[in-house]
Amino acid sequence: MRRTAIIVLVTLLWVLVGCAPQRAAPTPTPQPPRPAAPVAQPPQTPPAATPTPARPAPSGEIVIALTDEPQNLNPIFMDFYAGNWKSFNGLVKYDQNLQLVPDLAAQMPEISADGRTVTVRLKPGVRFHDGHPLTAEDVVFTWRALADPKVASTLRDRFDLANVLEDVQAVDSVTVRFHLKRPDAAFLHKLYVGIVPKHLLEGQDLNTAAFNRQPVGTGPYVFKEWRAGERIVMEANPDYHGGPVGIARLIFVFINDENARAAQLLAGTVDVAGLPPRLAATFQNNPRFRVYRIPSADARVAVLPYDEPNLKDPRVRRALSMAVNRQAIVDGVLLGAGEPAYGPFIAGAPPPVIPYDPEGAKRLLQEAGWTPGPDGFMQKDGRRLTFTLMHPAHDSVRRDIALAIRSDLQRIGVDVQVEGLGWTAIRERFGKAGNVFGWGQPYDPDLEIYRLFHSIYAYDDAPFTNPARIINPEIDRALDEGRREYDQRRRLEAYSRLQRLIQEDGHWLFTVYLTPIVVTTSKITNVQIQREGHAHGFSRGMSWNLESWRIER
Amino acid sequence: MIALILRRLLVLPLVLAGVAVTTFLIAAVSPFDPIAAYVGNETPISRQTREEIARAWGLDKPLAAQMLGWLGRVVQGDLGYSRLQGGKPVAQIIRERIGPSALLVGSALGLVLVGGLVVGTLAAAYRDSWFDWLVRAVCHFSIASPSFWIALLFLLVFSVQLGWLPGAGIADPRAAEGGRIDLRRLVLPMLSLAFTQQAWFTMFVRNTVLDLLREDYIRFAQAHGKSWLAIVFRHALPNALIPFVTLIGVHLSEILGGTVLVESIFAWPGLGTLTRDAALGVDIPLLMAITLGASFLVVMGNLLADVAYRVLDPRVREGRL
Repeated sequence: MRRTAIIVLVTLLWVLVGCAPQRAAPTPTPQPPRPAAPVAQPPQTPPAATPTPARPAPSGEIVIALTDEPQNLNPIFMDFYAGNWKSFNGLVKYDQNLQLVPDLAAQMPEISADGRTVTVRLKPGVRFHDGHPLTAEDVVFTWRALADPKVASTLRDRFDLANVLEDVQAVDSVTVRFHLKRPDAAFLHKLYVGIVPKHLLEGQDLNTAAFNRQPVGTGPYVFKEWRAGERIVMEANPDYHGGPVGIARLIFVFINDENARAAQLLAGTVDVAGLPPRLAATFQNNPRFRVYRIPSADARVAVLPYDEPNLKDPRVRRALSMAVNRQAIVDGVLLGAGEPAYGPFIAGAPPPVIPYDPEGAKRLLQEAGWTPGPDGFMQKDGRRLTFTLMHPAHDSVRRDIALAIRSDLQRIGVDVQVEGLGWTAIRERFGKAGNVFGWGQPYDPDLEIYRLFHSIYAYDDAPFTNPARIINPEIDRALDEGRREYDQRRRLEAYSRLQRLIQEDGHWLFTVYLTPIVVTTSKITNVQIQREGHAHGFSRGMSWNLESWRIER
Repeated sequence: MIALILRRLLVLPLVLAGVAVTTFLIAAVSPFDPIAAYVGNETPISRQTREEIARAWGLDKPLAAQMLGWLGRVVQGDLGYSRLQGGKPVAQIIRERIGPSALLVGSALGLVLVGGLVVGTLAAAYRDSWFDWLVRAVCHFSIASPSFWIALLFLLVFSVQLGWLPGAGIADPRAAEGGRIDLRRLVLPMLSLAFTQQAWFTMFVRNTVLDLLREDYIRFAQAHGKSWLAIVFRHALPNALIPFVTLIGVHLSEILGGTVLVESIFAWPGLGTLTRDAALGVDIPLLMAITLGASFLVVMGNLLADVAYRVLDPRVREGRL
């Protein structure tokens, strides 16, 4: 948890010290595009100055089973938590401990004293897979596309670009300057987004560009083939600026059914697959496989209905939270593959622990005027203490969490009606009934939390921004401070305050963070795990260092 | 005959237009939200961005304008772009998926036709024998069981338990670029589809042949001392073929519907899986194109059935019926 503080200090030092005097990087002379190097080509002699020790050439291939076929491989349209498919690089990336480190940037970006200008210098000599050199123009193009309302990207909303990005300019061919409308403490995290080549996309409608399904980036893997409904093939980039790549060929297949994924692993047709705990257990002691558990910030939260008269009193909501046995949910529902959650995951500002205390919960309910009725349920003015909790019908984990909440709350005399529904019905009934949501990410709190708790989102009738319609000036203040404050210590103080305020409000009943499990064949080595967010599809926590994976002979 | 074909072809655009309008309206009044499907069901997204995305995809226009615009483009041969698949042109998506589906439907249909004819005729020839009882029992079982259940059963038994056949995809994922279709992977989806579709054909042939066996010319042939099987196959079966051919045309929609579940279970990259994904993702442009294509096939199937009827049946051909 202190790591974030340390890295930010280091970052600040960078900024203060001014990052070692810059030698003007030579402008790469534009060269005629080379065709993407086929694998058979003799390896390029690396420039003499590369500090990386010589590693063996890429070899072998693996088959990775995804649950769903991706829709779009263009980073502009991608889910921020999904990783970048290794065809692209951002200006920065995360290391194993989720600290930002330079990627396409030569060093960490500089933030001006007023926090309104961010300057990035690019690593020299980086090329796209088609041989075109990467320049500042590509960065400008990518970011202008992200900010363009005609481009149907959800990242514009996640990054709050309409209120953040004044302009982005190329100072010279290797220097990019971002002008911000307001200080943005999370801005460096946003620079993780993959950079796309201007020369292949300029003048096209990005929403329908063929590029979205034939991506060309700078990353460790070159896109080769996408057969719809069947597979995506990628091959190691022999000229990767990050050094040699481990595995020569990646094949992604799409297997929706978890039992089918397990069967294919056993049959040897698939080398990597995510499995639910129940199925993963059968691989645990099998020497042919390795089982990876990926800690996450992906919380399962019962967001209580804001239109339910029985739950208007915050004491009642807090009592519910005290009566939920989170460890029992981790052990019973998730078979141990999870952690108790008491608030949103914020590195360095963890939420206070809420001890499991059904007796205390009962006392709190009585304090709020509820008394046990003849049927054993709490009542007040002849009304029974009851509410409805929905969950997406297809999600068995959320169903089991909802049922666990029901049985825990029954013990303190609260009657919960559990209903599994489709998302359409959930959207329509939300507010009258609660729902078990899945949200959370470990990168920068501001990338998500602002829109979930800030009162400006309580008034726009979008269903899932500020879903509990919380209007609390103190929460707003903490969020605004966390958003604008570059001083990490002050920022963490604000977020610690926020954690406390969210618990006091009590609409958000946090239960667990999931721990997804991925099983691989044991020939794959050098896999490192990073904490991940609420990922759809290709999860970042497992695959963040995919280019370093190796196959043991 | 020519007049009939022309008349039908003239009506075809009207039928398709009707189907298009109906599909559009159903999609419009359905509670499913295409924007929510596009951004992700749970993604907290501000009202403003939602509206921008709706505008980018042309979903902000009034319904009539959306529909007319779409129809206008379809007439020019532009089926639009899929929101679900990164803006890929719908025509291209469908072109890529036709091959696998044609292979699956074609082979299953071939199996159903040949099997249905032979088995149905034999069941009729040996009416009330153990064989006939078995055929009827299997047919009733297959009509009563949903196709996805049959498909899962086949998958479990032959692929997972016995390990005889691969149960997913169309080719080995590790195959080199442009990998060939692996015909072993066709077997299970083909059998599942054929098994769920065969009952109608088999029972139909059996009943038609039974009716024909009551005709005088059969008795006449029997009196000549010809063997029973020869009589059935030479005299009764050809006459049973006529209604059988029409059944194919009429039954085409059933078979197309059956592919959705069977393909989904075997991860077969055809139009069935595509239909499922398009429906789940509320990908209206894609759904519209699939519905139109399927309607076109059904109309053509019916037309072919009528034409075949006239070609095969001399009584219809000479206008005596």
